Amino acid sequence: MKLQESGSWRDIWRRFRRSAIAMIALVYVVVVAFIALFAPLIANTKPLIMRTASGLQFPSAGDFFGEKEGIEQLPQGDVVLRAPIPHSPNEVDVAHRLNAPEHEHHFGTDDLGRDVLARLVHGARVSLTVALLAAVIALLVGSFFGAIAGFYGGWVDWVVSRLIEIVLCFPFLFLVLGIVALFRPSVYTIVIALGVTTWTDAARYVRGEIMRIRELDFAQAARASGARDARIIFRHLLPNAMAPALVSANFSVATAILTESALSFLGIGVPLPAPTWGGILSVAELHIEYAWWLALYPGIAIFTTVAAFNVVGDRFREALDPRG
Amino acid sequence: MRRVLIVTLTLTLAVGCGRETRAPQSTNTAVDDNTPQDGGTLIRRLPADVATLNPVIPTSRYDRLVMNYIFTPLVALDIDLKPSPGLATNWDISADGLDYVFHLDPKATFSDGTPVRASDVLFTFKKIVDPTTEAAQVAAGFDRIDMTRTRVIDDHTIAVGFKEAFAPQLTKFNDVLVMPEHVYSKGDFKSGYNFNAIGSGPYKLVRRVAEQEIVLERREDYWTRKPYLKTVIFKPIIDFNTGWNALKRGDIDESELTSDIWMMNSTRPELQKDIDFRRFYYLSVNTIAWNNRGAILSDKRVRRALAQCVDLKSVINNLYHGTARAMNGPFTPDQWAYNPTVPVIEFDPVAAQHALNSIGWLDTDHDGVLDKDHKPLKIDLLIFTGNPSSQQFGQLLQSELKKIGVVMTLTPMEPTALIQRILAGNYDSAYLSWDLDPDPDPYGLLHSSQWPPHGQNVVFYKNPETDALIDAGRKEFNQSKRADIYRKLHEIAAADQPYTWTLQVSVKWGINKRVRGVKESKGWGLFLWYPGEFDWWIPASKRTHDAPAPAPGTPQPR
Amino acid sequence: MSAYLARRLAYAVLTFFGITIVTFTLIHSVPGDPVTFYIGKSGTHGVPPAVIQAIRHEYHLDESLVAQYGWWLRGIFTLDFGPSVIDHRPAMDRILEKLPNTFALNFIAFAFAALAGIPIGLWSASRSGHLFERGSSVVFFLLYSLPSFWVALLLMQFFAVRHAWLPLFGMTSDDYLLMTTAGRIADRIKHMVLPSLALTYAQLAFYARFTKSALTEVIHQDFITTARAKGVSGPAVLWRHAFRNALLPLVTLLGLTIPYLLSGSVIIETMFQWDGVGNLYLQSLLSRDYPTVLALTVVTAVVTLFASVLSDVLYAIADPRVRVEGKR
Repeated sequence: MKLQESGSWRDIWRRFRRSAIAMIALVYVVVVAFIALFAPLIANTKPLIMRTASGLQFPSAGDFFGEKEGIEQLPQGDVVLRAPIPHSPNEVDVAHRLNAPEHEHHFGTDDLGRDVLARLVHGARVSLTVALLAAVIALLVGSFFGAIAGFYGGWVDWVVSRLIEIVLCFPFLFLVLGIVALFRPSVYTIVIALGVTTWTDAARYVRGEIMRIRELDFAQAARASGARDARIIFRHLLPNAMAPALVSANFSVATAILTESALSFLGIGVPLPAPTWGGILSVAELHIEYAWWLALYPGIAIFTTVAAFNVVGDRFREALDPRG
Repeated sequence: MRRVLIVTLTLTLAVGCGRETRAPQSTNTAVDDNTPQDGGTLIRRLPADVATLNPVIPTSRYDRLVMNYIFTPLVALDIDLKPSPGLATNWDISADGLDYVFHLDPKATFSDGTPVRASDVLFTFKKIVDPTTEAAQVAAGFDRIDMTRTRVIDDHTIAVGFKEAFAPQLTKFNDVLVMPEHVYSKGDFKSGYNFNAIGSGPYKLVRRVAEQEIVLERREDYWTRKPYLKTVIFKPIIDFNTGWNALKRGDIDESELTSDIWMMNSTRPELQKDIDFRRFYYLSVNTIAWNNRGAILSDKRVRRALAQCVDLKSVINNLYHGTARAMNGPFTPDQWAYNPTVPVIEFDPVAAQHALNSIGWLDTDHDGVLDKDHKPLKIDLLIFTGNPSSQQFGQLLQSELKKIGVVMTLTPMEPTALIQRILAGNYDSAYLSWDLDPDPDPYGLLHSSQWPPHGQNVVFYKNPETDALIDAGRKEFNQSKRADIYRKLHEIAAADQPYTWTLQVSVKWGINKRVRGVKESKGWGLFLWYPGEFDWWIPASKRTHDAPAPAPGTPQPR
Repeated sequence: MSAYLARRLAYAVLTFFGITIVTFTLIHSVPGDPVTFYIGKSGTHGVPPAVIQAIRHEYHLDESLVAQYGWWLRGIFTLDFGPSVIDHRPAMDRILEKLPNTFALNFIAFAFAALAGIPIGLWSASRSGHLFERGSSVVFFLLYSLPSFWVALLLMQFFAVRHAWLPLFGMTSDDYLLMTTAGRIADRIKHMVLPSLALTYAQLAFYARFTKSALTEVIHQDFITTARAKGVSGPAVLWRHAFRNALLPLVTLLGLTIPYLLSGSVIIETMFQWDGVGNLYLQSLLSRDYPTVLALTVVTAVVTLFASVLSDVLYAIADPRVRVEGKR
């Protein structure tokens, strides 16, 4: 994985495009990201467009950054367009709990009568947000440590290697549980816990790359020109070392989705009542004998998303290789 | 006439139970299935394997279920959970309530044959009271004991002295499971007797295989009325679905059931043929604990308004399918202290909103959330992770509160962290369930001297009026006067809402119909009261767990 | 070589102490301790202060953090970490009882994954054909994108609920003790099928993919082309040259998976009620059973470090440059 030899980003894209499966996976990832981004418009009891006395209004758009905490009144008027899925993820309806899939609820309802499909749609938002943020943190932390270890070598490298070893030897669940228990459980705690425990891969890649390229011509030139260390690392070396780190970041996202859903499944992930794919599965376990829809759909969601990310990441890695 | 009746009954039963194909050992039809018969094996389910059978250091109620067969309490509790003779046949309490004298049954013996002596009882007390034993659950009942006045009077009489007179004290002796001193004084008390138990109870421990079974056999030398069942086997089965399947197959004879399993199966006739579906109430209540010292929640009108947003009827009907009942104060409807005139708080969110408005909570900034002095009405509710019903309750409450402009955030926490926060007073509200003692005294939960770390008054409630009532109730030995005190307390507590007592959820049980003599107590369900499970019996014709007598010369399975 | 080994071991010891310090800090920062656990179980009457003090004394909670750390270090050398909070038996005893269960489960999963996965990887590497290569890659990815707890749920649904062929929970049946020896072995095997399946499929896919790409990488290298040019036949090329060179990273990988033999199965153990250390770990953390948590951490850390050192040493034996430079 040598960016120098990989050619330009356009070359990489060209090589990537050659695989039909990878393209399908990429499209899928984009679709999921789209769903995650526009979840409040896709699944909401509030209509998309209403015609009121003062013209057109867009009630569900107000939820874009999260459902409001207080009471909400719909404006007076006629509904022009409902949301494609006319249910909210937190619309509790206890009288209709554990209903099998039917016209009103395409994927059935959960143990509090909430629409499973709506929760899946909003769950995409939570899962992807957590996974992306965690991957970004892992990438940043890993790149930093990898860069200083690779650049300075010597005792810095030694300390970083020991640090990596400690993190690797640490029982992962313990660390996550500890961090989550320590702070108030929230999306951010989970993100930090995940990021802090998964940066080692990126660190290793970046370290290896930096060590390899610091002896190359352009790096020598930069040093000869008297540039400060930090500048050399961040402006010259890192950008060239990032490609393999990006590959690992991609896999980080996939792993983070899996891990976050596992944590939610165990009950120590993103707290209620936020919809998460793993959270629905944890309810499914209790009702496994008669509510198969609770187990099937969230699992498919996790599986397909993670698979898509994995396929994209793998193809990307191969595309970096000029022979690919 | 009577003989005809008996024969008719026998025939009817024989016809009704025709599907039983195992050939009876004898053709003795004079044995009818309505009077208790001696013998048989019962297989019970344990929801978690027993951690220890040391009677002073049990850590869960499951440990106690097994210990109840092996040990005898000094004082037993009857079907109404009132004190009744145990190892002590009778007792005297001094007029000032400070000295108790127990007269032990002289026939009592331990399973190794040695007689039970007052010195054994004294030894047990010493162990309970010794802090290094860490008898966390039992020691609290004896923190006022005066060991200088606690002594052996003779082999079958023991005096126990206390520093303070305390009406509930007598029921605490139910936790004193007497151990033989000559056995338990040897070796490491705390870790050497986890599965090595010798007591004066009607059964002895024969075998324990970790995670597999605990086998108890009846003592043929038992010193008082023997239970009917010869063998009792406990099987640890953690998962409720697995337990239910085992019950259906007849592999076990009783199991607790979840609400959902009960709902799906209890009305099916093909199951009702063999399984007795029962529902009863434990002394266990769900509450919303409000931090009475919190800025918003210190006003009891706010607490009342919030309580009015709990749609108990909907929760009971939809989440529990009608198998729970509303609570309105610190006592359950089964308890003698309960005041039936205190009303349940009605679900009325409109009235709640008006009440909040009238004390200054208005939506002045039109953001949909009530506020006062520029502070929004936001409350955080802590709930235990891994507890689906409390999560459901929390989410329901949250959505009702949202409709009137109150923001409730839910914070699931793992149990120990949650308990830590509550004890530190670092919370707004929490959804907790409490296991109550047989005696209704609510000192630990409501008295102002019991604020953590001194006690369990985790809501930091303080009301001099209730304090006085609680103190009076603890010292009043006259039952009807005590009842009056507690009824008044019930009224005040309901008005103050330091907790919002929400529900008592019924416990569901499935018992194979071949087991007879099963009765329910008032608050402890089927077990641990006297005679309770000792009166269970299985007719000889239905003993499917006992292999028929083998032909001579046949090797026995091990 | 011995200099390298000595250096490597010294680093491992340092890392070990690093792990102990981090674990210790973490568990003491998390709110709640054994006393909280007891109070939580004490119903409405709480725990008398004298008993609380006794508990604190027994678990050294009344001493300074440094002193407590010292106790733990002493425990590492004597292998006595104190009594478990749950039943007062020595923490180490409980761990040793459950360790074989976890190990057996993970080992079966690992063995199956390696024994099936590596040949599959070899096979798919040896076949040429663009479509096939793409296809097999994708299949592997699909396999290890499956969330293990979902797979476990589906397996449970299918095998144990709809068709009662296999048992759902636990390690043995209720009537295990009544079985003959042969029956017991069969019973244990039956109980192991579902959990080890849930554990193994992802590893299998991973090994297959790893082997395949490692082998593919080697195949394209120059010296293989040289061998072919010299007239060495197809399978011989594959075996003697390619595979042996691909073996090295594979061995390293196998070395790195040894730690997972102990820690990889928490969720599966919890779901299938497999009485192993994964389950124990979770329960001990939640009940603040300090002695058990610390003992478990030591055990896992030692095993992990051992595997890490082992795989480094194997690598060093194979690749002398490592020994000389002192780093990879």
